[in-house]
Amino acid sequence: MLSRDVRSQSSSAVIMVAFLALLALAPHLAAAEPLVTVSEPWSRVTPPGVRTGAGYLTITSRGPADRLVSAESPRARRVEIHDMSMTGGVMKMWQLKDGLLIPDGGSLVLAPGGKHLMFFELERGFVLGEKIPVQLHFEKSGTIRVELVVQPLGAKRPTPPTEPFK
Amino acid sequence: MSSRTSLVVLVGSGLIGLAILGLGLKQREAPRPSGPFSLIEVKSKAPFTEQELRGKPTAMFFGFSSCPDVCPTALVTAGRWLSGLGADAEKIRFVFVTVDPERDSPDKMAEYLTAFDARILGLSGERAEIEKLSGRFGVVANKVPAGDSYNYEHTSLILLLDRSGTLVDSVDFEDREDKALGKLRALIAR
Repeated sequence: MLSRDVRSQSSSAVIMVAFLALLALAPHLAAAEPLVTVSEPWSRVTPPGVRTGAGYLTITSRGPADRLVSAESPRARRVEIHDMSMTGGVMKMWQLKDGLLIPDGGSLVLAPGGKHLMFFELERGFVLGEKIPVQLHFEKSGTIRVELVVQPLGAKRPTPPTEPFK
Repeated sequence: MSSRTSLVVLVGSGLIGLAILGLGLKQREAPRPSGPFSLIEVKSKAPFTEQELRGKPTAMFFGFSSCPDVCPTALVTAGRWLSGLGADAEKIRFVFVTVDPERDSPDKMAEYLTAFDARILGLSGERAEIEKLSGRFGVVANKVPAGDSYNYEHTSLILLLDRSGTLVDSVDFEDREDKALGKLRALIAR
């Protein structure tokens, strides 16, 4: 009785694992399983007439390290990876031409006041609640597609939390 | 005195002289309370000169409309502070000054400012006139290339001017709201 239970449990577990593995592999048959997951992708409303925007998200590595090399979006002519600082009351912003390293097992937060995706020449402004498609190109994980959820002007963080993208 | 010693003395006194000159320059760079400038308030399209800085204290922020993070966040914060001031909000003037007049025409600025508290005014105009205003307060605004476009590094503090138009304090939009409101109330009470 006990052994049959264990056997039937283990066989259903095998089926489950095989099914999950298939599910997980299906979109990546040509590419390796991504080493990173992207969560909480968000942006903010752009004021009227403005043709630049910023994108924020969290990238978590399950190891080994990977690098975000570039990003693109159908909504912008160009997307760059930027960092900024506020020192001595002066705001500075610059492009990270080598992209962003996501350390082995670590996570990297792109957030207001720091690292961000910078959108240039928006086709049209970002409106509250809409979703902005972005492709993130990683050195090892290949391309991960995310949708930035547009939050109100001046928002400090996304609400509500969104599902992780893999 | 050997030629070597005299060289040291010469170089040394030269350095001291430079240091004194440097201090003098620094003193001369201190805020100048007067000096004419002529800009346009973008909502009313009325002229805005040093005369408009008198009679009422001013909170002044320099930025540009293509700025993706700091400027809209500072303007949203300014709106929150104005609400926090309640009835005292009418005793202070909030002004957003563009450092990018080539892209921020008065019309474009007026459109941009519709996204924020209606009490926030906007200034644009000729670059030379904007530099007269930013220069008097030591505001930094450096154009930096970004691909085939450009951005600005700029002072992100909100400058607080008393009712004579003199810079007396500053507040950071990242400061806690009670601290910021305290500074604004103190400015109004001056």
